[in-house]
Amino acid sequence: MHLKMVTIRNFRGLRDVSVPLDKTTVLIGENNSGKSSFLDAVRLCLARGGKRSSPFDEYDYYTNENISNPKDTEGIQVQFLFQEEKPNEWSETLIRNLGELAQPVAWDMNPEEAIYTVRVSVTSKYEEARNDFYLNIEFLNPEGEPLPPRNQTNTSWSNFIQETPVFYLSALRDIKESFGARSQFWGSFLRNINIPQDKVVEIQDSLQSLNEDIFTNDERLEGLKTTLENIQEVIALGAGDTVSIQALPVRIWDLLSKSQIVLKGRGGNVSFPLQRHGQGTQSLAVLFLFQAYIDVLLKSAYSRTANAILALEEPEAHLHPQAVRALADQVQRIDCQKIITTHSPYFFQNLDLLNIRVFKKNGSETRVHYLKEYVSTRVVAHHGLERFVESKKGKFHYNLSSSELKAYAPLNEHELNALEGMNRNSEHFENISEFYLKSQQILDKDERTDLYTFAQRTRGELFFARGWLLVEGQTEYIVLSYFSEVINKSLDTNGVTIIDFQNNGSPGAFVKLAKSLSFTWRLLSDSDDQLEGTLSQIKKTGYSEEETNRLVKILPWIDFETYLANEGFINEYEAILGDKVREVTVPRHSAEYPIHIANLIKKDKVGNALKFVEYLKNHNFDSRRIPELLRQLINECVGEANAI
Amino acid sequence: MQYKEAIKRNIELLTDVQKEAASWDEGPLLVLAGPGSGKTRVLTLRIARLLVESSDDNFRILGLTFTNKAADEMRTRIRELIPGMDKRLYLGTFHSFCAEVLRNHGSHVGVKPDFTIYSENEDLDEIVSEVYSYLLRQGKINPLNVSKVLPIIQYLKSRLILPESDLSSYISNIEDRQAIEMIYMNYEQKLKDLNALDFNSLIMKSYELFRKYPFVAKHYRTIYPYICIDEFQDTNQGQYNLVRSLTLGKHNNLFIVADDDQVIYQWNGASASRVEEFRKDFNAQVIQLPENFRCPPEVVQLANNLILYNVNRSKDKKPLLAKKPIQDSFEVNLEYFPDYPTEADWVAEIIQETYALNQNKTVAVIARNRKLIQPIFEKLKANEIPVVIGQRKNEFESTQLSWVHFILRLAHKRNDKKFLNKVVSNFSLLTESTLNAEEIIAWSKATDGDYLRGFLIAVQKGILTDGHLLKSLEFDLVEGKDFFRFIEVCFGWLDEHMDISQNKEDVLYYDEKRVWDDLQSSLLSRYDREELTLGMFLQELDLLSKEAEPDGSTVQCLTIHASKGKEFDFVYLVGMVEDELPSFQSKKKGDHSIEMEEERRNCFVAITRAKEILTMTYSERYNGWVKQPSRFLYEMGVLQQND
Repeated sequence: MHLKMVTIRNFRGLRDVSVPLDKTTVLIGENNSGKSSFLDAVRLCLARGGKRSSPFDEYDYYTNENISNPKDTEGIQVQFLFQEEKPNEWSETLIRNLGELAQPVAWDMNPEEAIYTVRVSVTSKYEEARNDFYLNIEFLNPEGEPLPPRNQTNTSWSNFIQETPVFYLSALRDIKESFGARSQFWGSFLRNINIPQDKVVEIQDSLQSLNEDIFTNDERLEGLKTTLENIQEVIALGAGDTVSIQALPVRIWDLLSKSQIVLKGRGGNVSFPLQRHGQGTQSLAVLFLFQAYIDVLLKSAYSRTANAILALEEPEAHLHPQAVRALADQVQRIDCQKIITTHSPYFFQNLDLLNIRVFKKNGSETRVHYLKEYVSTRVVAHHGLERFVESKKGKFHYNLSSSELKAYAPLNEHELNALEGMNRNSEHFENISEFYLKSQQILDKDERTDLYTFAQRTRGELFFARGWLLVEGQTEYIVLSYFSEVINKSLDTNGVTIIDFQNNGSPGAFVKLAKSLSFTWRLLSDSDDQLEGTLSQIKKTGYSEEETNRLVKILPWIDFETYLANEGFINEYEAILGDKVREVTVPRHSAEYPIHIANLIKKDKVGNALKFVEYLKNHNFDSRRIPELLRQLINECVGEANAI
Repeated sequence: MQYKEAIKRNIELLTDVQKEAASWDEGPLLVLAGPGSGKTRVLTLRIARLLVESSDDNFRILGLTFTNKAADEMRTRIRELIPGMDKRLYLGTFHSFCAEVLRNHGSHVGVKPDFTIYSENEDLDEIVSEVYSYLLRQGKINPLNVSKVLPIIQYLKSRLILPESDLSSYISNIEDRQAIEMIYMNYEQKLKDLNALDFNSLIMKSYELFRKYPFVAKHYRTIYPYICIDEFQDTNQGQYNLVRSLTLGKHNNLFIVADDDQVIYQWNGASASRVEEFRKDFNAQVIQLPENFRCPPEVVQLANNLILYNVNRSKDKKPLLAKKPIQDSFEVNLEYFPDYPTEADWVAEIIQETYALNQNKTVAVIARNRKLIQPIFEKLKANEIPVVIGQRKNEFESTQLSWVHFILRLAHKRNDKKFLNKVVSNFSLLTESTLNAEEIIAWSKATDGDYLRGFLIAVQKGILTDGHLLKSLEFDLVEGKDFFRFIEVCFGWLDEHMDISQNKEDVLYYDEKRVWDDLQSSLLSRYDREELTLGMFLQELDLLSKEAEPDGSTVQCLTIHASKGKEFDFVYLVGMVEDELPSFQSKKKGDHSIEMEEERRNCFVAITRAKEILTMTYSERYNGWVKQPSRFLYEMGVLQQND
């Protein structure tokens, strides 16, 4: 069973979020943004204990400045939707196990066929009459109405929970606990060790004789035993040998419970127990142990058709970047559904952008943002619609029974007009333009590949930033970083990442990404040939003229160097250029002079940018000289990043 | 696996053909089972065997019957065979299965999971009248005989004819047709608004669901790879279409038990050719169980003689084989009287004589229609012989039980005006108090809209003085702590009340209380008490007949239809004349009509209820009219043409 969607209301900081889940879903966001609350909601609600006792405590109920007492809140509501991706994915055995909890609904792609769903609602609210928080777990039909009581029994719940065990591995994985005799995974292995009875006797006999060997080889132990036997004189004990000293446990279970994993480090020849290795190695070991558990024991501990959900918190903790990357691959291979929180760009370097969910605090409540593969709207079943959808070859999909139209790529003007034409006189007409706008946020495959190559792989940290400053090249990067420090508004320390889009694909892809994932952003553009294109890409993403004007700062010159040369940094540039200044043929006071200087500077943009900053640092740069446009840009970026 | 062995041993005890049927695994099978052929035994053994043999599997078996009694009986037998292993079995009537389907998947056809079942014609008639007067006021229809409308709607629904379909072949008069169409449509809408379904809707909506959303039917085929249907010959077109849409011809493990010689529900849409239709549609194998273990050989002979006169029978149908060992007590009698009162007196007297001998024999009086039974019933009752008339009862009739039932319904649906009205009126009768439902509603609406709480507040003001009951009403019911405890307290209170006087009403109370106890313990044997919520309890109760199961010493007065599936040591089949059996209506259709064949099957069913003595009676005059002896007496060979 694949958990497709979780909707949470009023649980801690999660006032109202809906999060679709993939086979692997990665939750990112700053500390305290609600990622752990999300994992907790999933594991608490889908716990084995289930129906009778509430897994929540009173701090779990969402409160704010208006309602501070958990008893007065609307109560926690969590809904889970399990769903097949395509028909016949779930086995007959699974469907029979689930019985009526499994609800077939028409499949979008072909309404003749059905996909199975299971909907579960968990609610908890204070009830005056009972003077207590009550817990209500219900299975729902596709309309969201509770199934009949016969299918709401404890038996239904425990059968269901057998199919979807949730395992939680926290950021700090305690090796002693994880590998203790009573631990969930390791303990299960130990308990499942099956030694034939005659062999048990044999082993126990040899343990006994080993014990005696140790014992008889030290006289002092014999003496100790004799002394201890005097106990008999004080209290009555059983007949025969009453006192024995066991150097080794003589029962198999005792022995097994002391089993430990021993690793040999690279380059050494001494084996150490796992506890003696570094924290990173220990964490890794727990993960591998979990994988082994899933592979070997899950189906016998739960249902044969069980599909586990792993809630994994910060798997990267204490690991080397290379190891983190390797770990990410390893985790993907664990045969279960994974929900992972991470703060490591290395961890999601190789994942699909579509798997990322960005958690952000907005005031006291969390919002979750993610990229959408498609957008949908309702339209009338027009006779031309079928032909329209047909002719667009996979870009659109129409579901006749729900009259829902899906778009898998941004619509163009023609398509907008065609759809508006077909819905001219319908109630849906007004939704079409919104549908068009929403569709503009869809990243197509090429854009995703670009972003993967230029951003995700090499600059993963930008997904952890509070805001983005999009600039054309590296010069801006170097100079603006410095300027921001000079005015005490360091972009770095304020969580603003500078992205030089020229080298990293198109500005449009970044703007779409920023809009979808709700990053605040500013863009600094030259007045060059590309400006028009950049502006139109931004507007297409759904920004108004006014918004675009606010978000995009335009340098009044053809590039950043020329801009600086004209904004009073001509002396610095001359100093950097040294003798090369002589190559300028126009007079120093002429209007063309700065342009010519800038052209020389541009012959080694990056090198000169570094020299420029170096020069300013060494010459007591006066921050008042920073051009107003750039100062404003920095202030806005930092201001907005901190406003969140 | 001790059960596996036990099942095996039980199967070994069967006859060869029974064995063959009980060992049937896969593929469609038609078991043609004559009366008294041990079909229930075969059916239950097969189900138990399949369950035991697949104890590691998780598929389920669906068993459909026509009465709750049949389902209960099969469940009991299977539980005896394989205790605790019947969790993977759904046994129930067509209607209860359909209710289950709709509660779980009805949302596709606009049915909510918590719908109520309206089983009383009284309630349905009320809806029809309401709709009728509304349409009349609106000037949309002309006046018509409104009492005929509900039966017509029910007729249409039982044949799966939707309001939007063309009704011209059913109602010829255009004006009537249009009016009925409109009433039918509004009637359906009204039921929908009330979140209610009538009995016919259960089948009709399930059929619609399976047909429009084949994946729901597929879901049931996945969960239930084995389907068994008992008394298949009784399926009407609607039920048969439902089975077909459920199985879609792809389901190979359909096991049906039927006897086309026992089709007596033709008027309700059953058909003698259904069995043949099934055989063709599903390309089913056939196993015949002609052996009769119930009746004296002479009765078997009469039955065989009689049924040969029917032409529309399964091909190659074997005659019944008498297998019951001969006993001295076996008798077949025919008695002739001058008129029906004399005939009835004689039957009543002879039953009284038998009763006095206290032989522990079960006795039934069977007739083609209710009218014939009534005088005998009255007579026996007057003479203080325990006697009942068999009939289905959808609601409790005593004030006490009705009160308990309705207050529980109100507890489940706190703002239902109808429930409150019934609670208040029954309570007023019980306590001779004057409560006003309207006041309670007004008060409740001003507060939280909870009529039950309103009722509690009203009776707390000195009207109900029993502190124990008041407390239980408040905590167990209004606050929903434990409705079972409330039921217990309630009956305690009612019992106390009863001791004061021993009137007729109280006898009904004790009878119905016994029914309640039976129903409750039957439900508690199927579910954990903790799991059995009030909603579920009421839903189950809705589908069960509230008729008391008579004990062995009670004489049962039954129509042939009500006698079906039962057996008695002594059977009195009365009114064996033309115009009664066969009925006047069937004679009008002609001597070779399918209606006449159905009458013959009625006679066939009636005589094969007898285990020891079959007594048939007839008279010269009925209501002053001279009647000829029934043709069936001649056909059976008990009368000769020249007699």
